[in-house]
Amino acid sequence: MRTTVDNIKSELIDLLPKLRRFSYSLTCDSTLGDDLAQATVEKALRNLSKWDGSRPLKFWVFKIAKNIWIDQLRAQKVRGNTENIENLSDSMKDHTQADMETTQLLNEVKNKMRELPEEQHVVLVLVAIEGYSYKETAEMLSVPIGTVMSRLSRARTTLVKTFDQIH
Amino acid sequence: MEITDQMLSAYIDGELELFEVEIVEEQLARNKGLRDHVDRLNAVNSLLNQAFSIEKDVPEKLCKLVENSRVDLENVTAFRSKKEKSQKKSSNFYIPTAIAASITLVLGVMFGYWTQSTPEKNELDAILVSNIDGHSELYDVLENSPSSTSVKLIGRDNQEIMIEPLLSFKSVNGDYCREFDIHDSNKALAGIACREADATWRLEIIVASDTQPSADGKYQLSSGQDKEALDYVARNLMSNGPLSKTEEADLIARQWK
Repeated sequence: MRTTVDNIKSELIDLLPKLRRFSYSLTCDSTLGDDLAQATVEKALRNLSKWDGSRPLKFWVFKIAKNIWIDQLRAQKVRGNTENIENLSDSMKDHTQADMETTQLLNEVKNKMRELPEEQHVVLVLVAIEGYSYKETAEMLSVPIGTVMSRLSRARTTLVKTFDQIH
Repeated sequence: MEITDQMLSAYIDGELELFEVEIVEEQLARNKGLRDHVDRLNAVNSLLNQAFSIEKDVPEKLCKLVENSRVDLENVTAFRSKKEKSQKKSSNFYIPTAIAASITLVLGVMFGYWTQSTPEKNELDAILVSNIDGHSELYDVLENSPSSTSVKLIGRDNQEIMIEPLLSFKSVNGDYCREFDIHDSNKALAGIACREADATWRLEIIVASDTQPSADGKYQLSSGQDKEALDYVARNLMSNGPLSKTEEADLIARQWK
């Protein structure tokens, strides 16, 4: 049993880099992303008894992160705080003038991501950034594969339009 | 065979069957517009990965959080019997037992308390019924008041009752729903109601909140479990996040149709 406990901790620690990027991709803000990752780990550890151990731990942990993020969005809306929190200049500070165009483009992508409906946003992050298969994504979100495909396609269409407008 | 955006999206993700890949590639070879579109889809993927790359190491406090935690495996499902596992509920939307117990308790205490608090039916009892129709003051507020606008009602005993819709959203079933809080000087509650086809509002959940507002003027839920219950119901009902003020105003003008 001790080995198993160590295995779970080890699996969680291995998962942290991916969880951080997932959280960053959801919040579109590196600081808020780290806060979300921490809240997710705390909740996962507190509720480990709810994990169905026959399913991958990472699916369960990512689902916790997604749920916390959606709850936070709702809470923000209740408080009337819908402004973007990210300081757009933050990610520009380490760049030279030559990089500014790319940085601006990347910030546009982040802004557009914030505007996507939550369900499209999550699917896009899981597939395009985290590299999960459609089957894995469908399992993680408890939706049919067809739903994953349509949400993904709609999200990409929106981003491609943004990309076209910039160029 | 028409090549849809969905097929192209699946193509760049390597999710098509072999015969579908052949069809798409045949079209790509002949259609420059299609090739350009695939290039743009790939460019978006690349931008997304650049935009959300993380260079810094995982913060030490996050690693310590896991390393120093006390993990109890006694109750993890993987270590339970198959019989126990098979008893898991398979419905897509259900309220976990602990949360359901919390809601039942709140409802029981709430209605019981109010019903017994005065010999006559309490004003809030009349407001909070499972199906809110045109006879309820809450109905008017849900139908007509924009979110973040408090409406003051005067009860029969001259007690002030405040109702505030907090946000509106479309449910996974296609209904429109509103989260609200309601309080008098003794009690405060937060709830969610969804509009039915017959134009009544169905109460989905109601939980107790603190009777005194916090610094931001909002009422906080009394217990973590109540908050969890409200969050759980909202999360499972909400299809696409809260509606914007414009969308909400439009729906109010169209009587939520």
